[in-house]
Amino acid sequence: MGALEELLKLPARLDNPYVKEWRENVGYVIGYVCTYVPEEIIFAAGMLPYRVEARGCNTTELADVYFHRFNCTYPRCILQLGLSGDYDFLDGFCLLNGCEQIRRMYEIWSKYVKTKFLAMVTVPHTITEEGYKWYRDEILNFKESLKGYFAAKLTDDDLRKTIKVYNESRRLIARLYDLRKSEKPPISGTDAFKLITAAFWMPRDKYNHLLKGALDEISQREGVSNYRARVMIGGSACDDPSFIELVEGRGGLVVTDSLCFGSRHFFNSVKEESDPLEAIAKRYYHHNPCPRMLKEYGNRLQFTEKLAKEAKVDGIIIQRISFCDNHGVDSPMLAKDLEAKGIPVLVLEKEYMLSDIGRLKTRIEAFLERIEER
Amino acid sequence: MKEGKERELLNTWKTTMDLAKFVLGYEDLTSLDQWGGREAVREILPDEFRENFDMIQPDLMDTILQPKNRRVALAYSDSLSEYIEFVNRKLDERKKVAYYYFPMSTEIMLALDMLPICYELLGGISAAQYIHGCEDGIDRIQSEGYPDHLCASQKATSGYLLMGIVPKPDVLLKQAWGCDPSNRMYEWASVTFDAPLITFEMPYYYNERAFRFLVGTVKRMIEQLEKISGNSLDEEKLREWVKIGNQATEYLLKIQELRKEVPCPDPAWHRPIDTAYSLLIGRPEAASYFKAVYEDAKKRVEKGESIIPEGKKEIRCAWGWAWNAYSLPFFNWLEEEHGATYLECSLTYFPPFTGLVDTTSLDTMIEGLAWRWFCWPMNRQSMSFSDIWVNDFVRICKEFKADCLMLGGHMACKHFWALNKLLSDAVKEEVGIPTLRFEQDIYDRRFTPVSELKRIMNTFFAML
Repeated sequence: MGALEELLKLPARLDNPYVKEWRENVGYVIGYVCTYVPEEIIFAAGMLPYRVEARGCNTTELADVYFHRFNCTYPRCILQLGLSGDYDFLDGFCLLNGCEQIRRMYEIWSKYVKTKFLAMVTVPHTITEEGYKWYRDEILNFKESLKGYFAAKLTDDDLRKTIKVYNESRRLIARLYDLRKSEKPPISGTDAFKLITAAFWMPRDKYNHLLKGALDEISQREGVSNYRARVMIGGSACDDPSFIELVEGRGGLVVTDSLCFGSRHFFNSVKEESDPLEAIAKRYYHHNPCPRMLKEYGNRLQFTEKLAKEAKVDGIIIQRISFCDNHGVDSPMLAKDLEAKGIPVLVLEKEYMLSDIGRLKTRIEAFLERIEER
Repeated sequence: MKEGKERELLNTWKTTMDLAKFVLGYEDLTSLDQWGGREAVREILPDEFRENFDMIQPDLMDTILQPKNRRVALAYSDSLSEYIEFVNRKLDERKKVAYYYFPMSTEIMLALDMLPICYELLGGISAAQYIHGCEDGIDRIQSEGYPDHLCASQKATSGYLLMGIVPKPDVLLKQAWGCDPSNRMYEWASVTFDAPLITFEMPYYYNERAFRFLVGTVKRMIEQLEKISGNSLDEEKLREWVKIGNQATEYLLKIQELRKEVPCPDPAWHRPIDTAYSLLIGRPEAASYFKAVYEDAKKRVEKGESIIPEGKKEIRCAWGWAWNAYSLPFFNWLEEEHGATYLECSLTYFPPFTGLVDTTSLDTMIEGLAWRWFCWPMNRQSMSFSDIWVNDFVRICKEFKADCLMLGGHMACKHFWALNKLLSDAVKEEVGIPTLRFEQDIYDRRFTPVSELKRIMNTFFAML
């Protein structure tokens, strides 16, 4: 199997051969949620970071004993997989107060899923000097607890080496985003998203090697030209390419995104020449902010507009998961401001798992027609 | 409500308060029916009250006219009138309007000679008083594409701001913490009305490190407020307001203790109003209101009087989330129909160690206020791990001798819905009492109409 094909076909969770191999031959696997958990610390400690996802989950019956229909289906699906044993392969799980629903998984997970090592990293809701210090202490505590619990060795040199590996991923992924800016992007949005998200679920050094190969392969291609509109995807957490596939199935070509499983996670590098923990803390605290961060709306708008312009998009689809408050408020604000700048926006409410497909198709189709009629 | 006049909402309330005082002045008027119905009462009203009278929930009038409720109803009306007069005076003086988030008090803003208006209060009072509550504000913001599952306590005011019927903010004050709907709507208001958003952080833990962090951010907040108000925080002025705030807090904590009495001496419909006045702590109106509630309950304890009908067995209910504001009469109905009293909830419960603010120095006052906010109902339960909420209510159920726990969860409060089962399990295991879980919206009656709430209660109490 070539590098491209291997990344495109990477299975989820325990079917993932890299996770299996790591567990059998290397060591511990640590799950985490959210873009504010520094993966470098986990990897530098000799453990495999695995960004928790719930691809393929189509029921929440176990999770709904503890959660409620007013909770977003993203944490409900993750909890469902936790309760049904799909995450038994995790040796540890680091949660974060990313949103008010994700954070509440901690207590339920600790009581009913019983992953042996559970950690919480907390991030202030504003970007300030005091907030930075708080966050830095939080990740320092996380690092120490990880070392203590697993008797792991983690030196500054280990961190420095890991930073280089992760920055290399960021550079390669940026190249992939760049390739998609062309008139005839050499890869569909669906496949690009698969390549990008594979980074979350395999050792990063191996990922870099495969992604390099995949990029070489892609750059030889002629490119896609039979699309109706160039589209950007934004909004709530989305780790499943099937939504992008749905958009592309209607003739849109997804050329960029502002997702926390996409550009928002990968676009800022860690400074390599300074104190490694400080550098990691600064990068994660200051990276392109999620709407959970207050007083950052202007930066999010600017970031979204910049991405849209660079990728020459014809329209933006902001998908928001029902009961997601952060994107629930951000999406109409962004829609209003971006429309005023001449960028068509579709705000689409959906569940985390792909359901209600007929309605979604109709809305996407109507949006593409609107773009074509401009 | 017509669009465009920034004092319209508060002046409508003022008329309602004057009307309430007028009607309460008729000592023999103890229900509308007794006087020949709504039309007959309307006839005795001066012209300027009639339009307002038609807006008011009829059963609310009946509730406040009941002898057991009159004294506090009058205190509520007097205090709210005085607060509205204060607001109008400060608007005349063109003082800076500071909208603030509810789990905090007003002392610092008052000492800086600003006009504090609680964002969440505006919809709440309207919801409590009027047939259509604050639906106009809610509908207005939702018409802009904002989802219905956001909190009505911010939706209503956001809509009112768009309608132009409340004063525009010069600044917004907000705890930055784990309540996403409120965080986001304050940012919306800041962007939409070009008013700076000043935040202080409620970090995730409930420990010394977190408290020190909070104090630091409160100090930064003060520095920013000083710039906006153009005033420096004067120790003596702050002390004056803190003392007034302490008076209200002292009564509030004493009332909590009185509610441990059997039978509970404090009517259930006071709980939403208690929350409203706790938002005004620092203002003399809050102190007057809580004094009246305390004296009312104290007198009842001394005389051995009950708030439930003679012969009914008291069912003591702790409310693990909280009340709704859209039907105060519903809580009166619980007492009258089922003998169900309302002990405590997550929007009223100040832990006893909240204490009073030490007025020795500027530093002790700032720390004391920050500590009170750290302990504030909802802040305390929501900012951190579920254990705090769960353990608080296990303790409340024991100390207040609760017979059951009511979890009437607010749709918007997602983090509550993610712990409701843990809470009901803990109460069952550790206190041995049942829980009723049901859905409601804090201000919007259209979500769970009162008739449906009553059906839910009838079934539960029949089982109990």
